[in-house]
Amino acid sequence: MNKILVAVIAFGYLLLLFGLAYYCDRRRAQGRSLIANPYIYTLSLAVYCTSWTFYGSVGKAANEGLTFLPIYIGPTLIAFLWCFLIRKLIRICKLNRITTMADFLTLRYGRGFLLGALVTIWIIIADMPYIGLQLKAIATTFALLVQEPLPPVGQVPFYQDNAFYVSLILAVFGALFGARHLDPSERHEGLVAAVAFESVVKLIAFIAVGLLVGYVLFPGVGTIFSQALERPELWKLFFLHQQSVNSYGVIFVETVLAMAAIILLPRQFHMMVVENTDEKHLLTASWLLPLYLLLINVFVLPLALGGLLLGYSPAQGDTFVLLLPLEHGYPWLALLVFIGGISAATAMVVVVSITLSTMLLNSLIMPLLARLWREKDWSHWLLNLKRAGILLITLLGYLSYRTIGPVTMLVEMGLIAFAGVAQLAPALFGAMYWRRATGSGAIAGLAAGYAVWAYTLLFPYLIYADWFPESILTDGPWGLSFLRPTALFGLSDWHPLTHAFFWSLTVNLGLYISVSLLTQPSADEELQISRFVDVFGVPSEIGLEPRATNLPEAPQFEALAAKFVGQERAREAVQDFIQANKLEEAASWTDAEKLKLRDYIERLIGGSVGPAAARVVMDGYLASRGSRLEGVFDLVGQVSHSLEESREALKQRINELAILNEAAQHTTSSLSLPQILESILRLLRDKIGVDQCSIRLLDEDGVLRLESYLGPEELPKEELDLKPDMSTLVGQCLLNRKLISIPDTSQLAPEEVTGLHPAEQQASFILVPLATESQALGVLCAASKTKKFFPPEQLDFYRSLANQVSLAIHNARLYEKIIRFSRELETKVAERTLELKNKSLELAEANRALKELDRLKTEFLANVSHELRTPLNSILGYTQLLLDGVDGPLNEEQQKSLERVEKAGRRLLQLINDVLDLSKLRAGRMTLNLEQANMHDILSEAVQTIEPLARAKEIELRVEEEEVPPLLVDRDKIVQVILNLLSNAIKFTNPHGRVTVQVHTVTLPEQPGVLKDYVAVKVSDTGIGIKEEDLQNIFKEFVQVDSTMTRRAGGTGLGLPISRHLVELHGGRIWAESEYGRGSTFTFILPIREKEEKPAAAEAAPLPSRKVMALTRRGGLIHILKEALIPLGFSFKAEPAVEGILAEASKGNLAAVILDFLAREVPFWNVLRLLKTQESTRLVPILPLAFADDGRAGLVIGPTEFLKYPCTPEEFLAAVTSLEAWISYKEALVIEPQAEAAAEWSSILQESGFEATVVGNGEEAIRHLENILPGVIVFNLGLPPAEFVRLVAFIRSQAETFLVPLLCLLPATLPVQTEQQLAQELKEVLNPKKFPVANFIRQLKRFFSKIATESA
Amino acid sequence: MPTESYVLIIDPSEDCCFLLEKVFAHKCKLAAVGLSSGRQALELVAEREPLLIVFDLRLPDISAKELITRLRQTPAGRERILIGTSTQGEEAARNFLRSGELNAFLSKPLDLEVFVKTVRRLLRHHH
Repeated sequence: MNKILVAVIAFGYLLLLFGLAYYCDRRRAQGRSLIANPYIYTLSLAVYCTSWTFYGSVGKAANEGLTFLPIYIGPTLIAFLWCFLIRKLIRICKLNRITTMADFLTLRYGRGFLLGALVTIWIIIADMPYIGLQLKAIATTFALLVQEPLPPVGQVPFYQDNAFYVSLILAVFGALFGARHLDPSERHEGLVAAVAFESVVKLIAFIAVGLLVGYVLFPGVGTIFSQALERPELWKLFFLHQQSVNSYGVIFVETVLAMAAIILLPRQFHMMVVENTDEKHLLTASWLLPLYLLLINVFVLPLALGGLLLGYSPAQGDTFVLLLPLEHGYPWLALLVFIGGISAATAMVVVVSITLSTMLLNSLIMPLLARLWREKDWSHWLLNLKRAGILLITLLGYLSYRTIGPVTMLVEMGLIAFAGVAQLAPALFGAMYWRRATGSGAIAGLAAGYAVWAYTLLFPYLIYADWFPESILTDGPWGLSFLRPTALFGLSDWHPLTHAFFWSLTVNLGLYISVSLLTQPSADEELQISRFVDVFGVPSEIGLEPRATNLPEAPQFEALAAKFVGQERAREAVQDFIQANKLEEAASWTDAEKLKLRDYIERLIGGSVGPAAARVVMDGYLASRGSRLEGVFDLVGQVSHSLEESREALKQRINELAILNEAAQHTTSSLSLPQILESILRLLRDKIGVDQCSIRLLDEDGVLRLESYLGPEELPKEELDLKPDMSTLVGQCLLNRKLISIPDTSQLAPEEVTGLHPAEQQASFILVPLATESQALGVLCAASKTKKFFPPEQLDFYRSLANQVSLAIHNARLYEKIIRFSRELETKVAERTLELKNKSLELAEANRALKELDRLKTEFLANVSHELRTPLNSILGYTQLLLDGVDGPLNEEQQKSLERVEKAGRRLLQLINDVLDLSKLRAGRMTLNLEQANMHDILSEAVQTIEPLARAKEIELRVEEEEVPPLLVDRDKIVQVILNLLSNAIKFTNPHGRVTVQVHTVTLPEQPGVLKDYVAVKVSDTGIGIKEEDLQNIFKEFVQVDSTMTRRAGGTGLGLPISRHLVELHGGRIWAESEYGRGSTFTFILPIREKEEKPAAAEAAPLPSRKVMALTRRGGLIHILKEALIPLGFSFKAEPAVEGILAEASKGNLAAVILDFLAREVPFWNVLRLLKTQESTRLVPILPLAFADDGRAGLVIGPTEFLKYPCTPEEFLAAVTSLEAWISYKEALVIEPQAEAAAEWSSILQESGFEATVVGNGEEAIRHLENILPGVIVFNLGLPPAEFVRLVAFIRSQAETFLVPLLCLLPATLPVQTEQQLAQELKEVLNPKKFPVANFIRQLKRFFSKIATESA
Repeated sequence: MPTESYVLIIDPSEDCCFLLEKVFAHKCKLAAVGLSSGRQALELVAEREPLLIVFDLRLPDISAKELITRLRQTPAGRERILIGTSTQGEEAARNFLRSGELNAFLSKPLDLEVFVKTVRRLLRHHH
């Protein structure tokens, strides 16, 4: 066809479109919109079908068969969701004046520059090839139509390239349609109309070709199919999954991509969302658009197959639509097809260029420019910038056509774009539905998705275009095969599209979700989340505004807006705002209203320049004016709003709560039940306004009684007593614990008995059960003269009130019970106390009386014995004198009589002594003078005493004695016992009989708490014996077996009881065995308490050669020592000075040296040291003795007490107390190196009234003693020995301190070394408490026998 | 008043005084003065030194402790022979014995044989 003609027609067609658009714009300006109908809206959406559909589908079908379909099936499948999805999108965009996808995301994700820029750049990159594709289509088809060969792309300079001019023309059209004037809403009705018109044209053109091929060139579509089926090489076109391009995976991916693309492609977003005039149009679109897609696809397969059947190659598929009419004699139809193709391409290019230009401006350019020139009036500039943008986009499209166009098919470019925009899906849908989505997540997801998409899908085409070496495809970049763009991480054998789709969306979605979850939305995002996610739920904008200071007024805002949208539009907008918010013009607005205007203006500007730029502009503007926003959200506004909504309900509720609160105060402030009940009823009457109310309570007999009543008239209380059962409403309320409300008593069924007094049944009433969890208590009744006075929503209030009353009743009753119980208890306690008091008084009295009696008895016995002894003294004395013949010789009779007197007197004396002994023993007043005694000595003494008696009766006295250990006993008492037994034995044994004494040890079987080893003394005789029945009585007082015998034998009968007491007092036992007529055996055993001592043999083997020296000049001590030592076989000499001792020692053979500790003229410790350093005395044992001057002390090394520790505080105190006599001041010096122990000692001392000073060692102690004299010195023998010796030396050498008592604390385990050293220094420490001389001598003996043994 | 050497007996019981006087006269050939009052006895002792003093530890007008102390307080007193007697209170007597304040103690009723032996021993030892 003629080239010029075609060009003119094509141009004319474009002019027609422009005319249409212009007309529509004018109509719109006049307020009579042409396009505001669902059909035009739907047709405008058919911009989806570009030249790719128009030409490319047939090409795809000719090559791959059915794979052209997913692109249309996808949108069809998802169309039913548009009503929700796109409606929400539209609402959000309208509300926020959003004009591009990038703005949408920018606004939602925090108005950052980055996200918008990212989206914009990538959308442009993704769409450029797509624009290029349109240009290519136009250029190719034009060349075909005019039958000129199309020079290979890129080989002609651009000024000779048709496509270049096409792009310029399209850019002009874009500017004409989209940027003729500023419109912040970015709505272009003219464009919509033009696009819709084009949609009709391309559909008609396509169907016309379809009909031509299907019914003119071929007899029918059916024929085409049947002919195609006869050609096996075409079969693959009928089936899926025959090759990689039509595998199920690819089909699926393409379907999904198309689902997203119908919304996400920039042109779709623009036409569907931005250009939408009415959300309802979506309803039509959701069925009409799928229908359109169906129609435009009906003839795709027939055209493809027809073309192939007519002998065209599949490679020509893209041009079948044009070639078939052109080459089969229908040039005009071909022209129509060309026009249709132009329609498809121009619609796409124009819409996309306008959209992308807006996006570029809003997301990239304006945010930058707005930062640079804040105060600039942009209204004129904006338009030009936009036009420049359109041109730029179109030219970029041309550029991509020239670069990658030659190497790709049309469809591939489309799919690349599809996959690119699909990356927006997570962020976009998340923006609408996911609250946790954050800007960081969106950026991360998008960036990664784009990167993977570019790498896996776009990059290979660049490789095909020879921009990069092909080895990257086969071996991976830098030989890293897992990074091969089409087989990422080894995912090979997938179709590149599926592969790219899988990886890019996986990475995108994964990062979007995970980063969102890891980050927190910013404050601005928080605000937007509800505006987006809850777009349908946000009724108003109350309460979410920050407070501000120094805000501009409306005119200033208007001026600001004018810079971006022009004066007129700005003024209109402000007027609209004032009207919409019912504000008075120029009136003093509140901050909240100004802020509202601010946002309104910002959105208005945002419509022109995008939200990111608008935010920059607004912030900059406000900052320049010194306005300040404070991050305090006006929650009061929100609260007051919700308050208003339910003010009445709230008022009611608050009232109820107040009443409940008051009721709670009443119930807790009193425990008097009537008072509580009355206060509750008063509340009901005064605060709720009931006319009558009452409370009935169950009494103990199960009768419901009126307890409290408030109403106009008095009720006869007693008549209202009621046994509750199900026949009355009151009973039902109580028993079922169910609230009964009668809103209208006239509706009450006649058979229903309320159980109330007629006066209580007003127009309406309620019965509320009072109960605890376990127990029904009663019924609360309230009545009103008004019908329906008790609304259902108030019943909960009554229940709450009833709960409170129930609790109060329960508490009050409990309280009553407790009071009653406690009174009973008090009475009982008082009675008991009195009783006990009396009893204890009686007891005390009795006890006192008994004690007195005991005292009297002892006193009496003592007195009696005195009174008896005095005359006895005379009786016996004179009798003896007479018998001695003092008063002259006596005749025989006189002699005999006097002897009888004397005998009777002696017997009386014995009796008195025994009685006295016994009474002492029984009263526990007998004290034992325990000493270490040898059984042999004791026995000898007794036998010697009794021997004359035995001899007189000619009785054989036999002693059989084993060697036994010494015993700790009162020697005299044991002698007494043995004498008793022997004298008894002799008494009751006939002449020529035999009495035997045996001594031996016995060992009892081991038993806890019982000593094991005993010495047994057995006295047996061959006497008359004791009857079995008498055996148990013989140890009782005043019992003698045969009184006649006693009389004959003489005796008091008290001997055995006394013996028993004495033995038991020693911890022993006594018993008797007898065979009547043949003799008796008396045995007693005594415990062996000390097993220590050397046998008496040592004592008996002295070493006469040894000499004991004493350093003293005191006669008393010398005397005692002499008397003690000489019998032991020692020679003894006392010296007044140490020199004497040393002189004596040099002669050799000193057994021991006794040092008089208290000999003041010779400092004890000096002497000790001296003796210990001299060779002659170094090894001589030294016995320090102290013999105090004042007479009360016995032998001491100064007053000293020893205490082994660990010990109890009591033991410690006992030790201190034993030194009490010596303690002059209640001040103690504690020498203790261990802080813990020191603290313990001093605290114990302080408790018993001492002041304690603690020092850590002997040195310190000495320093302390030089200044202060303590009452007692407590020190640890665990001190190093040297220190100890020095310390004691010091203490005992000073006149002031030498009588200060010491308390030595001996560690339970004294270090061996210390013990040895101590033993060397002080051979023996005599117990200072044992004063008796006998004891002292015994100790001396022990000491010296030890020396004797040691030296032996 | 005897002018020669004598023994002093202090005992509240006249019977006892007489008995002991008899014992001293017949068994020891010593003149004895018996007094029932401790204070009178002290006056007598101050006047004329007795050979020995036998006294009951329970006297109506003076305690044993005081009596002993006053008898012993002079240097000469320390050399005196003091024999205590009593129907009871042996514990107290033992203490006096131990401290050397009493030379001997005999409990009542007295065993005259022992008494005479003790007196003889003490007199012999001392002189």
